[in-house]
Amino acid sequence: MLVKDIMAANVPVFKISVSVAAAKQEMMKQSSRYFAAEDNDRRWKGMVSDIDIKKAEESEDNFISDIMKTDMITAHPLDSAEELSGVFYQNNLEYIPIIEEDRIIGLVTEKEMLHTLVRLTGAHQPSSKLEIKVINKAGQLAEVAAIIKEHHINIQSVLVYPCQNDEEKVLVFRLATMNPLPVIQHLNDEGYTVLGPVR
Amino acid sequence: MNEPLFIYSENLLDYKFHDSHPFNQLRVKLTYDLLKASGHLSDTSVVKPRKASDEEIMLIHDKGYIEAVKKAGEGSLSSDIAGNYGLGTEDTPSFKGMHDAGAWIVGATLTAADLVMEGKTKHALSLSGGLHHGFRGKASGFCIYNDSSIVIEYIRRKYGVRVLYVDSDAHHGDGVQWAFYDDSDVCTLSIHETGRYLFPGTGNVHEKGQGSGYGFSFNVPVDAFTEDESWLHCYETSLLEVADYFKPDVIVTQNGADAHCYDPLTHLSVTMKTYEAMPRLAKKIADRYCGGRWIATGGGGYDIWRVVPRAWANIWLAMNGIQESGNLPAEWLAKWSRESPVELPRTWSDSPDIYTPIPRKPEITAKNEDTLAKTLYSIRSLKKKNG
Repeated sequence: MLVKDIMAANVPVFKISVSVAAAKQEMMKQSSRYFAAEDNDRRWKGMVSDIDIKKAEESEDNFISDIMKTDMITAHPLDSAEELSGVFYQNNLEYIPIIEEDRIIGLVTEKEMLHTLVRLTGAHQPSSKLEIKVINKAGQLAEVAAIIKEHHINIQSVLVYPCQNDEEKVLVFRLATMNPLPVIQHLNDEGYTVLGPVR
Repeated sequence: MNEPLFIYSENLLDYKFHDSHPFNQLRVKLTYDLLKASGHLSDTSVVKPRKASDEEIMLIHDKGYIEAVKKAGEGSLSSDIAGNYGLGTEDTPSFKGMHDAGAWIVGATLTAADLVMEGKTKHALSLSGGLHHGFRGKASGFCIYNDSSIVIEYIRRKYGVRVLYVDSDAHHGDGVQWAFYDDSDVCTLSIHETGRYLFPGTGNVHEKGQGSGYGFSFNVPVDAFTEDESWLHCYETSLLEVADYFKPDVIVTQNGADAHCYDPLTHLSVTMKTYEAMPRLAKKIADRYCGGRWIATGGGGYDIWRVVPRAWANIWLAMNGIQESGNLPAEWLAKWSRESPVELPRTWSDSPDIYTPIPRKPEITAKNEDTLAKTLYSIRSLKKKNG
Protein backbone atom coordinates (compact mmCIF):
# COMPACT_ATOMS: atom_id res chain seq x y z
CA MET A 1 0.00 0.00 0.00
CA LEU A 2 1.40 3.37 -1.04
CA VAL A 3 1.00 6.84 0.41
CA LYS A 4 -0.95 7.93 -2.70
CA ASP A 5 -3.56 5.28 -1.87
CA ILE A 6 -4.24 6.57 1.63
CA MET A 7 -3.76 10.35 1.37
CA ALA A 8 -6.56 12.91 1.22
CA ALA A 9 -6.20 14.80 -2.07
CA ASN A 10 -7.41 18.39 -2.66
CA VAL A 11 -5.71 20.16 0.21
CA PRO A 12 -7.10 23.71 0.58
CA VAL A 13 -4.54 26.33 -0.39
CA PHE A 14 -3.61 29.94 0.46
CA LYS A 15 -1.20 32.00 -1.57
CA ILE A 16 1.70 33.11 0.62
CA SER A 17 0.87 36.73 -0.24
CA VAL A 18 -2.63 36.52 1.27
CA SER A 19 -3.11 38.62 4.40
CA VAL A 20 -3.99 36.97 7.69
CA ALA A 21 -7.18 39.03 7.81
CA ALA A 22 -8.31 37.67 4.45
CA ALA A 23 -7.31 34.16 5.45
CA LYS A 24 -9.48 34.44 8.55
CA GLN A 25 -12.47 35.33 6.40
CA GLU A 26 -11.78 32.57 3.89
CA MET A 27 -11.18 29.98 6.61
CA MET A 28 -14.73 30.42 7.94
CA LYS A 29 -16.05 28.89 4.71
CA GLN A 30 -13.86 25.80 4.99
CA SER A 31 -14.05 22.85 7.33
CA SER A 32 -10.36 21.97 6.95
CA ARG A 33 -7.88 22.11 9.77
CA TYR A 34 -4.73 22.33 7.63
CA PHE A 35 -3.97 24.63 4.71
CA ALA A 36 -1.10 24.60 2.26
CA ALA A 37 0.80 27.79 1.39
CA GLU A 38 1.89 28.26 -2.25
CA ASP A 39 3.68 30.92 -4.24
CA ASN A 40 2.33 32.39 -7.47
CA ASP A 41 3.84 29.52 -9.48
CA ARG A 42 1.91 27.03 -7.34
CA ARG A 43 5.10 25.84 -5.69
CA TRP A 44 4.54 24.50 -2.18
CA LYS A 45 6.11 26.70 0.49
CA GLY A 46 4.68 25.55 3.82
CA MET A 47 1.61 24.82 5.93
CA VAL A 48 -0.70 26.75 8.26
CA SER A 49 -3.30 25.29 10.59
CA ASP A 50 -6.68 26.81 11.46
CA ILE A 51 -5.30 27.53 14.92
CA ASP A 52 -2.21 29.31 13.52
CA ILE A 53 -4.51 31.59 11.53
CA LYS A 54 -6.91 32.21 14.42
CA LYS A 55 -4.05 33.14 16.76
CA ALA A 56 -2.24 35.36 14.24
CA GLU A 57 -2.44 39.12 14.50
CA GLU A 58 -4.59 40.89 11.90
CA SER A 59 -2.17 43.71 11.16
CA GLU A 60 -1.74 45.11 7.65
CA ASP A 61 1.71 43.65 7.17
CA ASN A 62 1.00 40.15 8.46
CA PHE A 63 0.80 37.60 5.66
CA ILE A 64 0.52 33.84 5.34
CA SER A 65 4.24 33.79 4.53
CA ASP A 66 4.90 35.23 8.00
CA ILE A 67 3.00 32.59 9.94
CA MET A 68 3.46 29.43 7.90
CA LYS A 69 5.57 26.49 9.05
CA THR A 70 8.34 25.85 6.54
CA ASP A 71 10.81 23.40 8.01
CA MET A 72 8.62 20.31 7.76
CA ILE A 73 8.85 16.58 7.27
CA THR A 74 7.13 15.67 4.00
CA ALA A 75 6.53 12.43 2.13
CA HIS A 76 6.35 11.32 -1.50
CA PRO A 77 3.20 9.70 -2.96
CA LEU A 78 5.18 6.57 -3.81
CA ASP A 79 6.48 6.06 -0.24
CA SER A 80 5.02 3.00 1.46
CA ALA A 81 2.19 3.46 3.94
CA GLU A 82 3.92 1.25 6.54
CA GLU A 83 7.03 3.44 6.35
CA LEU A 84 4.93 6.55 6.82
CA SER A 85 3.47 5.21 10.06
CA GLY A 86 7.04 4.93 11.35
CA VAL A 87 7.69 8.57 10.43
CA PHE A 88 4.55 9.64 12.33
CA TYR A 89 5.62 7.66 15.39
CA GLN A 90 9.26 8.75 15.50
CA ASN A 91 8.61 12.44 14.94
CA ASN A 92 5.40 12.81 16.91
CA LEU A 93 3.58 14.38 13.95
CA GLU A 94 -0.07 15.36 13.55
CA TYR A 95 0.03 15.33 9.76
CA ILE A 96 2.41 14.98 6.82
CA PRO A 97 2.11 16.96 3.55
CA ILE A 98 2.59 14.81 0.44
CA ILE A 99 4.83 16.60 -2.04
CA GLU A 100 5.63 15.74 -5.64
CA GLU A 101 7.98 17.97 -7.67
CA ASP A 102 7.39 21.08 -5.51
CA ARG A 103 3.60 20.67 -5.60
CA ILE A 104 1.43 19.57 -2.70
CA ILE A 105 -0.84 16.78 -3.92
CA GLY A 106 -2.24 15.48 -0.65
CA LEU A 107 -2.15 15.22 3.10
CA VAL A 108 -2.11 12.31 5.52
CA THR A 109 -3.29 13.02 9.06
CA GLU A 110 -2.67 10.85 12.09
CA LYS A 111 -6.34 9.84 11.95
CA GLU A 112 -6.07 8.60 8.35
CA MET A 113 -2.86 6.77 9.21
CA LEU A 114 -4.59 4.93 12.05
CA HIS A 115 -7.59 4.12 9.87
CA THR A 116 -5.24 2.69 7.24
CA LEU A 117 -3.65 0.38 9.78
CA VAL A 118 -7.11 -0.77 10.90
CA ARG A 119 -7.96 -1.52 7.28
CA LEU A 120 -4.75 -3.51 6.92
CA THR A 121 -5.92 -5.77 9.76
CA GLY A 122 -9.15 -6.42 7.82
CA ALA A 123 -11.24 -5.35 10.82
CA HIS A 124 -13.70 -3.36 8.69
CA GLN A 125 -15.00 -6.40 6.75
CA PRO A 126 -17.56 -8.81 8.24
CA SER A 127 -15.52 -11.68 9.63
CA SER A 128 -14.91 -14.02 12.55
CA LYS A 129 -11.49 -13.74 14.15
CA LEU A 130 -9.46 -16.86 14.81
CA GLU A 131 -6.23 -16.80 16.83
CA ILE A 132 -4.11 -19.92 16.51
CA LYS A 133 -1.00 -20.68 18.52
CA VAL A 134 1.65 -22.45 16.43
CA ILE A 135 5.25 -23.61 16.87
CA ASN A 136 7.74 -21.02 15.64
CA LYS A 137 9.01 -22.87 12.59
CA ALA A 138 8.71 -22.70 8.81
CA GLY A 139 5.51 -23.80 7.09
CA GLN A 140 2.99 -23.40 9.91
CA LEU A 141 1.05 -20.60 8.21
CA ALA A 142 0.73 -22.66 5.03
CA GLU A 143 -0.51 -25.71 6.95
CA VAL A 144 -3.18 -23.77 8.80
CA ALA A 145 -4.21 -21.95 5.61
CA ALA A 146 -4.56 -25.32 3.86
CA ILE A 147 -7.01 -26.49 6.54
CA ILE A 148 -9.07 -23.30 6.12
CA LYS A 149 -9.04 -23.85 2.36
CA GLU A 150 -10.57 -27.30 2.82
CA HIS A 151 -13.60 -25.55 4.34
CA HIS A 152 -13.95 -23.21 1.33
CA ILE A 153 -13.78 -20.15 3.54
CA ASN A 154 -12.35 -16.90 2.25
CA ILE A 155 -9.56 -15.33 4.34
CA GLN A 156 -10.06 -11.55 4.74
CA SER A 157 -6.69 -10.91 6.38
CA VAL A 158 -3.80 -12.56 8.21
CA LEU A 159 -1.46 -11.25 10.88
CA VAL A 160 1.47 -13.07 12.44
CA TYR A 161 2.20 -12.04 16.03
CA PRO A 162 5.32 -12.93 17.95
CA CYS A 163 4.61 -14.67 21.30
CA GLN A 164 6.22 -13.80 24.63
CA ASN A 165 8.47 -16.80 24.17
CA ASP A 166 10.54 -17.60 21.08
CA GLU A 167 9.13 -21.11 20.69
CA GLU A 168 5.67 -20.02 19.56
CA LYS A 169 3.78 -17.57 17.37
CA VAL A 170 0.14 -16.55 17.09
CA LEU A 171 -1.55 -16.51 13.68
CA VAL A 172 -4.57 -14.23 13.47
CA PHE A 173 -7.03 -14.94 10.68
CA ARG A 174 -10.12 -12.97 9.80
CA LEU A 175 -12.47 -15.41 8.09
CA ALA A 176 -15.50 -14.50 6.00
CA THR A 177 -17.88 -16.75 7.88
CA MET A 178 -20.32 -16.49 10.74
CA ASN A 179 -19.76 -20.15 11.57
CA PRO A 180 -16.08 -20.89 12.26
CA LEU A 181 -16.95 -23.97 14.38
CA PRO A 182 -16.10 -26.62 11.75
CA VAL A 183 -12.70 -25.01 11.11
CA ILE A 184 -11.98 -24.71 14.83
CA GLN A 185 -12.89 -28.37 15.33
CA HIS A 186 -10.64 -29.38 12.45
CA LEU A 187 -7.70 -27.34 13.79
CA ASN A 188 -8.16 -28.82 17.26
CA ASP A 189 -8.21 -32.30 15.75
CA GLU A 190 -4.90 -31.53 14.03
CA GLY A 191 -3.40 -30.54 17.38
CA TYR A 192 -3.43 -26.75 17.02
CA THR A 193 -4.37 -24.51 19.94
CA VAL A 194 -7.17 -22.15 18.93
CA LEU A 195 -7.38 -19.25 21.37
CA GLY A 196 -10.83 -18.04 22.38
CA PRO A 197 -12.56 -15.87 24.94
CA VAL A 198 -11.81 -16.73 28.59
CA ARG A 199 -14.63 -17.56 30.99
CA MET B 1 -57.53 -2.67 16.76
CA ASN B 2 -55.46 -3.40 19.82
CA GLU B 3 -55.03 -7.10 19.14
CA PRO B 4 -51.39 -7.80 18.21
CA LEU B 5 -50.89 -9.66 14.93
CA PHE B 6 -48.67 -12.62 14.08
CA ILE B 7 -47.39 -12.92 10.50
CA TYR B 8 -47.10 -16.53 9.47
CA SER B 9 -47.42 -19.02 6.65
CA GLU B 10 -45.54 -22.21 5.94
CA ASN B 11 -43.82 -20.84 2.83
CA LEU B 12 -41.70 -18.64 5.12
CA LEU B 13 -39.93 -21.88 6.04
CA ASP B 14 -38.60 -22.27 2.47
CA TYR B 15 -35.58 -20.12 3.39
CA LYS B 16 -33.38 -23.17 3.81
CA PHE B 17 -29.74 -23.54 2.73
CA HIS B 18 -29.27 -27.27 3.43
CA ASP B 19 -29.87 -29.83 6.17
CA SER B 20 -26.66 -29.27 8.15
CA HIS B 21 -26.67 -25.45 7.96
CA PRO B 22 -26.98 -23.74 11.38
CA PHE B 23 -29.70 -21.37 10.11
CA ASN B 24 -32.95 -23.36 10.30
CA GLN B 25 -36.37 -21.75 10.00
CA LEU B 26 -38.03 -24.77 11.55
CA ARG B 27 -37.63 -22.63 14.68
CA VAL B 28 -40.41 -20.33 13.41
CA LYS B 29 -42.77 -23.30 13.15
CA LEU B 30 -41.66 -24.57 16.57
CA THR B 31 -42.52 -21.19 18.06
CA TYR B 32 -45.87 -21.02 16.25
CA ASP B 33 -46.67 -24.52 17.49
CA LEU B 34 -45.67 -23.70 21.06
CA LEU B 35 -47.94 -20.66 21.12
CA LYS B 36 -50.80 -22.66 19.59
CA ALA B 37 -50.36 -25.50 22.08
CA SER B 38 -50.26 -23.11 25.00
CA GLY B 39 -53.50 -21.48 23.86
CA HIS B 40 -52.02 -18.03 23.35
CA LEU B 41 -52.34 -17.78 19.58
CA SER B 42 -55.76 -17.81 17.96
CA ASP B 43 -56.30 -18.13 14.21
CA THR B 44 -57.81 -14.64 14.12
CA SER B 45 -54.45 -13.19 15.22
CA VAL B 46 -52.52 -14.82 12.37
CA VAL B 47 -52.05 -12.87 9.14
CA LYS B 48 -50.65 -14.38 5.97
CA PRO B 49 -47.71 -12.45 4.48
CA ARG B 50 -47.43 -11.07 0.97
CA LYS B 51 -44.32 -11.46 -1.16
CA ALA B 52 -42.13 -8.37 -1.56
CA SER B 53 -41.75 -6.96 -5.08
CA ASP B 54 -38.34 -6.37 -6.68
CA GLU B 55 -38.95 -2.61 -6.33
CA GLU B 56 -39.42 -3.01 -2.59
CA ILE B 57 -36.25 -5.09 -2.24
CA MET B 58 -34.49 -2.37 -4.28
CA LEU B 59 -35.21 0.14 -1.51
CA ILE B 60 -31.96 -1.26 -0.09
CA HIS B 61 -30.42 -3.74 -2.52
CA ASP B 62 -28.84 -3.23 -5.95
CA LYS B 63 -30.72 -4.48 -8.98
CA GLY B 64 -27.64 -6.41 -10.11
CA TYR B 65 -27.53 -8.24 -6.79
CA ILE B 66 -31.22 -9.22 -7.01
CA GLU B 67 -30.62 -10.55 -10.53
CA ALA B 68 -27.65 -12.56 -9.23
CA VAL B 69 -29.76 -14.04 -6.39
CA LYS B 70 -32.45 -15.02 -8.91
CA LYS B 71 -29.88 -16.69 -11.16
CA ALA B 72 -28.18 -18.44 -8.22
CA GLY B 73 -31.58 -19.86 -7.24
CA GLU B 74 -31.95 -21.26 -10.76
CA GLY B 75 -28.44 -22.70 -10.68
CA SER B 76 -27.32 -20.52 -13.58
CA LEU B 77 -24.81 -18.22 -11.85
CA SER B 78 -21.11 -19.04 -12.28
CA SER B 79 -19.28 -19.59 -9.02
CA ASP B 80 -16.82 -16.74 -9.70
CA ILE B 81 -19.58 -14.18 -10.09
CA ALA B 82 -21.57 -15.67 -7.20
CA GLY B 83 -18.56 -15.18 -4.93
CA ASN B 84 -18.53 -11.44 -5.65
CA TYR B 85 -22.09 -11.26 -4.30
CA GLY B 86 -21.33 -13.41 -1.24
CA LEU B 87 -23.44 -16.20 -2.76
CA GLY B 88 -22.48 -19.85 -3.06
CA THR B 89 -20.31 -19.52 0.05
CA GLU B 90 -20.32 -21.71 3.16
CA ASP B 91 -22.46 -19.08 4.96
CA THR B 92 -24.96 -18.39 2.19
CA PRO B 93 -24.89 -21.35 -0.19
CA SER B 94 -27.15 -21.11 -3.23
CA PHE B 95 -30.38 -23.07 -3.08
CA LYS B 96 -33.31 -23.56 -5.41
CA GLY B 97 -35.76 -20.67 -5.31
CA MET B 98 -33.63 -18.58 -2.96
CA HIS B 99 -34.90 -15.30 -4.37
CA ASP B 100 -38.53 -16.21 -3.72
CA ALA B 101 -37.73 -17.52 -0.23
CA GLY B 102 -35.98 -14.23 0.61
CA ALA B 103 -38.72 -12.10 -0.98
CA TRP B 104 -41.41 -13.82 1.11
CA ILE B 105 -39.53 -13.02 4.30
CA VAL B 106 -39.14 -9.37 3.28
CA GLY B 107 -42.86 -9.36 2.42
CA ALA B 108 -43.73 -10.78 5.83
CA THR B 109 -41.92 -7.96 7.61
CA LEU B 110 -43.46 -5.35 5.26
CA THR B 111 -46.89 -6.85 6.02
CA ALA B 112 -46.21 -6.36 9.72
CA ALA B 113 -45.16 -2.75 9.06
CA ASP B 114 -48.27 -1.86 7.06
CA LEU B 115 -50.58 -3.34 9.70
CA VAL B 116 -48.92 -1.26 12.40
CA MET B 117 -48.53 1.97 10.40
CA GLU B 118 -52.10 1.86 9.09
CA GLY B 119 -53.43 1.49 12.61
CA LYS B 120 -54.82 -2.02 12.17
CA THR B 121 -52.83 -3.06 15.23
CA LYS B 122 -50.25 -1.61 17.59
CA HIS B 123 -47.82 -4.53 17.62
CA ALA B 124 -46.97 -7.00 14.85
CA LEU B 125 -44.52 -9.90 14.85
CA SER B 126 -42.60 -11.23 11.84
CA LEU B 127 -40.44 -14.01 13.25
CA SER B 128 -38.98 -15.21 9.96
CA GLY B 129 -37.36 -11.80 9.46
CA GLY B 130 -34.54 -9.91 11.15
CA LEU B 131 -31.87 -10.81 8.58
CA HIS B 132 -29.71 -7.90 9.65
CA HIS B 133 -26.36 -8.82 8.01
CA GLY B 134 -27.44 -8.46 4.38
CA PHE B 135 -25.63 -5.67 2.49
CA ARG B 136 -26.67 -3.55 -0.47
CA GLY B 137 -24.91 -5.80 -2.96
CA LYS B 138 -23.73 -8.75 -0.91
CA ALA B 139 -25.09 -11.64 1.11
CA SER B 140 -23.43 -12.03 4.49
CA GLY B 141 -23.84 -13.99 7.72
CA PHE B 142 -26.68 -16.28 6.52
CA CYS B 143 -28.67 -13.26 5.24
CA ILE B 144 -29.66 -12.72 1.60
CA TYR B 145 -32.14 -9.82 1.67
CA ASN B 146 -32.01 -7.52 4.68
CA ASP B 147 -35.70 -7.25 5.61
CA SER B 148 -34.77 -5.11 8.64
CA SER B 149 -33.16 -2.41 6.49
CA ILE B 150 -35.85 -2.67 3.81
CA VAL B 151 -38.71 -2.26 6.28
CA ILE B 152 -37.09 0.80 7.85
CA GLU B 153 -36.56 2.49 4.46
CA TYR B 154 -40.12 1.48 3.48
CA ILE B 155 -41.63 3.04 6.60
CA ARG B 156 -39.54 6.20 6.18
CA ARG B 157 -40.64 6.73 2.57
CA LYS B 158 -44.26 5.63 2.82
CA TYR B 159 -45.15 7.10 6.20
CA GLY B 160 -42.44 9.75 6.72
CA VAL B 161 -41.71 8.84 10.32
CA ARG B 162 -38.59 8.49 12.45
CA VAL B 163 -37.57 4.94 13.31
CA LEU B 164 -35.71 3.51 16.29
CA TYR B 165 -34.11 0.16 15.44
CA VAL B 166 -33.16 -1.98 18.44
CA ASP B 167 -31.02 -5.05 17.77
CA SER B 168 -30.40 -7.54 20.59
CA ASP B 169 -28.94 -10.33 18.44
CA ALA B 170 -25.61 -11.61 19.82
CA HIS B 171 -23.99 -10.46 16.55
CA HIS B 172 -23.63 -6.78 15.64
CA GLY B 173 -26.46 -5.52 13.38
CA ASP B 174 -23.95 -4.32 10.79
CA GLY B 175 -26.12 -4.35 7.64
CA VAL B 176 -28.74 -2.09 9.21
CA GLN B 177 -26.19 0.20 10.87
CA TRP B 178 -24.29 0.88 7.63
CA ALA B 179 -27.52 1.31 5.61
CA PHE B 180 -28.57 4.25 7.80
CA TYR B 181 -25.18 5.42 9.04
CA ASP B 182 -25.59 8.95 7.66
CA ASP B 183 -29.31 9.28 8.36
CA SER B 184 -30.59 11.28 11.35
CA ASP B 185 -34.17 10.00 10.95
CA VAL B 186 -33.15 6.43 11.74
CA CYS B 187 -31.51 5.68 15.06
CA THR B 188 -29.85 2.29 15.48
CA LEU B 189 -29.04 0.66 18.81
CA SER B 190 -27.26 -2.68 18.82
CA ILE B 191 -26.25 -4.67 21.90
CA HIS B 192 -24.06 -7.65 21.09
CA GLU B 193 -21.03 -9.72 22.01
CA THR B 194 -17.80 -7.82 21.33
CA GLY B 195 -16.26 -8.41 17.91
CA ARG B 196 -12.99 -9.41 19.55
CA TYR B 197 -13.59 -12.94 18.24
CA LEU B 198 -17.20 -12.96 17.05
CA PHE B 199 -18.58 -12.21 13.59
CA PRO B 200 -18.88 -9.61 12.09
CA GLY B 201 -16.18 -7.92 14.18
CA THR B 202 -17.73 -4.44 13.98
CA GLY B 203 -20.10 -2.68 16.41
CA ASN B 204 -17.55 -0.78 18.44
CA VAL B 205 -18.56 2.00 20.81
CA HIS B 206 -16.92 4.59 18.55
CA GLU B 207 -19.15 3.74 15.56
CA LYS B 208 -21.55 6.64 16.07
CA GLY B 209 -22.71 7.52 12.57
CA GLN B 210 -21.43 10.05 10.06
CA GLY B 211 -22.46 13.34 8.48
CA SER B 212 -25.96 14.29 9.57
CA GLY B 213 -26.34 10.79 11.03
CA TYR B 214 -23.55 11.38 13.53
CA GLY B 215 -24.83 10.60 17.01
CA PHE B 216 -27.66 8.35 15.79
CA SER B 217 -25.82 5.04 15.86
CA PHE B 218 -25.30 3.36 19.24
CA ASN B 219 -23.38 0.19 20.01
CA VAL B 220 -23.00 -1.70 23.28
CA PRO B 221 -20.45 -4.47 22.67
CA VAL B 222 -20.46 -6.64 25.80
CA ASP B 223 -17.77 -9.09 26.89
CA ALA B 224 -17.94 -12.81 26.17
CA PHE B 225 -19.64 -14.76 28.99
CA THR B 226 -21.86 -11.85 30.00
CA GLU B 227 -24.78 -13.10 32.14
CA ASP B 228 -28.43 -12.03 32.53
CA GLU B 229 -27.91 -9.33 35.11
CA SER B 230 -25.27 -7.38 33.22
CA TRP B 231 -26.82 -7.97 29.76
CA LEU B 232 -30.22 -6.75 30.96
CA HIS B 233 -28.70 -3.78 32.72
CA CYS B 234 -26.98 -2.76 29.48
CA TYR B 235 -30.10 -3.38 27.38
CA GLU B 236 -32.50 -1.56 29.70
CA THR B 237 -30.27 1.42 30.41
CA SER B 238 -29.32 1.99 26.78
CA LEU B 239 -32.86 1.51 25.43
CA LEU B 240 -34.41 3.85 28.00
CA GLU B 241 -31.85 6.60 27.44
CA VAL B 242 -31.66 6.29 23.65
CA ALA B 243 -35.47 6.26 23.30
CA ASP B 244 -35.76 9.32 25.52
CA TYR B 245 -33.11 11.11 23.46
CA PHE B 246 -34.42 10.15 20.00
CA LYS B 247 -38.19 10.12 20.69
CA PRO B 248 -39.08 7.76 17.84
CA ASP B 249 -42.43 7.49 16.04
CA VAL B 250 -42.11 3.71 15.68
CA ILE B 251 -39.83 0.97 17.01
CA VAL B 252 -38.45 -1.91 14.98
CA THR B 253 -36.81 -4.62 17.10
CA GLN B 254 -34.58 -7.43 15.88
CA ASN B 255 -34.87 -10.25 18.40
CA GLY B 256 -32.03 -12.65 17.67
CA ALA B 257 -32.06 -15.33 20.37
CA ASP B 258 -28.42 -16.33 20.10
CA ALA B 259 -27.04 -14.71 23.26
CA HIS B 260 -28.33 -17.67 25.27
CA CYS B 261 -25.69 -19.83 26.96
CA TYR B 262 -26.84 -22.84 24.91
CA ASP B 263 -26.23 -21.11 21.56
CA PRO B 264 -23.43 -22.90 19.71
CA LEU B 265 -22.15 -19.91 17.69
CA THR B 266 -21.64 -17.29 20.40
CA HIS B 267 -19.94 -16.99 23.79
CA LEU B 268 -22.54 -15.29 25.97
CA SER B 269 -24.20 -16.72 29.09
CA VAL B 270 -27.73 -15.32 29.30
CA THR B 271 -30.80 -17.45 30.06
CA MET B 272 -34.52 -17.27 29.39
CA LYS B 273 -34.73 -14.54 32.03
CA THR B 274 -33.27 -12.14 29.46
CA TYR B 275 -35.73 -13.22 26.76
CA GLU B 276 -38.65 -12.73 29.14
CA ALA B 277 -37.55 -9.22 30.09
CA MET B 278 -36.38 -7.68 26.78
CA PRO B 279 -39.65 -7.67 24.79
CA ARG B 280 -41.54 -6.39 27.82
CA LEU B 281 -39.31 -3.33 27.97
CA ALA B 282 -39.59 -2.86 24.19
CA LYS B 283 -43.37 -2.79 24.57
CA LYS B 284 -43.15 -0.28 27.39
CA ILE B 285 -40.99 2.01 25.25
CA ALA B 286 -43.32 1.65 22.24
CA ASP B 287 -46.32 2.48 24.43
CA ARG B 288 -44.55 5.46 26.02
CA TYR B 289 -43.11 7.12 22.90
CA CYS B 290 -44.78 5.67 19.81
CA GLY B 291 -48.45 5.25 20.66
CA GLY B 292 -47.64 1.54 20.86
CA ARG B 293 -46.26 1.24 17.29
CA TRP B 294 -43.86 -1.72 17.43
CA ILE B 295 -42.73 -4.06 14.67
CA ALA B 296 -40.76 -7.05 15.94
CA THR B 297 -38.75 -9.56 13.93
CA GLY B 298 -36.76 -12.67 14.72
CA GLY B 299 -33.05 -12.88 13.88
CA GLY B 300 -30.24 -15.24 14.83
CA GLY B 301 -30.77 -18.22 17.11
CA TYR B 302 -29.00 -21.52 16.51
CA ASP B 303 -30.24 -23.68 19.36
CA ILE B 304 -33.57 -24.04 17.64
CA TRP B 305 -34.92 -26.64 20.12
CA ARG B 306 -34.08 -25.50 23.63
CA VAL B 307 -33.82 -21.73 23.18
CA VAL B 308 -35.54 -20.12 20.21
CA PRO B 309 -39.16 -21.35 20.62
CA ARG B 310 -39.43 -20.17 24.21
CA ALA B 311 -37.50 -16.93 23.57
CA TRP B 312 -39.60 -15.93 20.56
CA ALA B 313 -42.88 -17.03 22.14
CA ASN B 314 -42.07 -14.48 24.84
CA ILE B 315 -42.16 -11.63 22.30
CA TRP B 316 -45.75 -12.57 21.47
CA LEU B 317 -46.62 -13.02 25.14
CA ALA B 318 -45.16 -9.57 25.90
CA MET B 319 -47.19 -8.02 23.07
CA ASN B 320 -50.31 -9.53 24.62
CA GLY B 321 -49.40 -8.67 28.20
CA ILE B 322 -49.22 -12.33 29.23
CA GLN B 323 -46.66 -13.80 31.62
CA GLU B 324 -46.03 -17.54 31.38
CA SER B 325 -44.34 -19.73 33.97
CA GLY B 326 -44.38 -23.35 34.96
CA ASN B 327 -44.44 -26.23 32.52
CA LEU B 328 -44.45 -26.09 28.74
CA PRO B 329 -47.55 -27.65 27.15
CA ALA B 330 -47.34 -31.45 27.19
CA GLU B 331 -48.74 -31.65 23.67
CA TRP B 332 -45.85 -29.59 22.27
CA LEU B 333 -43.24 -31.56 24.21
CA ALA B 334 -44.70 -34.87 23.09
CA LYS B 335 -44.84 -33.82 19.45
CA TRP B 336 -41.34 -32.36 19.16
CA SER B 337 -39.38 -34.54 21.59
CA ARG B 338 -39.42 -37.19 18.89
CA GLU B 339 -37.68 -34.87 16.42
CA SER B 340 -35.28 -33.05 18.72
CA PRO B 341 -31.69 -34.31 18.92
CA VAL B 342 -31.37 -32.78 22.40
CA GLU B 343 -33.61 -33.09 25.44
CA LEU B 344 -36.22 -30.34 25.38
CA PRO B 345 -36.62 -28.07 28.39
CA ARG B 346 -39.76 -28.82 30.43
CA THR B 347 -40.45 -25.31 31.72
CA TRP B 348 -40.84 -21.79 30.35
CA SER B 349 -38.00 -20.49 32.51
CA ASP B 350 -34.43 -21.73 32.87
CA SER B 351 -33.03 -22.83 36.17
CA PRO B 352 -30.02 -20.63 37.08
CA ASP B 353 -27.68 -23.64 37.19
CA ILE B 354 -27.84 -24.52 33.49
CA TYR B 355 -24.25 -23.30 33.08
CA THR B 356 -21.21 -23.45 35.32
CA PRO B 357 -20.42 -20.22 37.16
CA ILE B 358 -18.28 -17.69 35.31
CA PRO B 359 -15.10 -16.95 37.32
CA ARG B 360 -14.55 -13.57 35.60
CA LYS B 361 -18.06 -12.30 36.42
CA PRO B 362 -16.99 -9.19 38.43
CA GLU B 363 -14.45 -8.20 35.77
CA ILE B 364 -16.96 -8.75 32.94
CA THR B 365 -19.66 -6.75 34.74
CA ALA B 366 -17.29 -3.85 35.38
CA LYS B 367 -16.06 -3.86 31.78
CA ASN B 368 -19.64 -3.79 30.44
CA GLU B 369 -20.50 -0.93 32.77
CA ASP B 370 -17.57 1.02 31.37
CA THR B 371 -18.65 0.27 27.79
CA LEU B 372 -22.22 1.35 28.52
CA ALA B 373 -21.03 4.66 29.94
CA LYS B 374 -18.99 5.29 26.78
CA THR B 375 -21.95 4.41 24.52
CA LEU B 376 -24.25 6.83 26.33
CA TYR B 377 -21.66 9.54 26.96
CA SER B 378 -22.92 11.88 24.22
CA ILE B 379 -26.55 11.64 25.37
CA ARG B 380 -25.67 12.12 29.01
CA SER B 381 -23.45 15.14 28.43
CA LEU B 382 -26.13 16.73 26.24
CA LYS B 383 -28.67 16.19 28.99
CA LYS B 384 -26.34 17.74 31.55
CA LYS B 385 -25.80 20.77 29.31
CA ASN B 386 -29.52 21.31 28.83
CA GLY B 387 -30.13 20.87 32.55
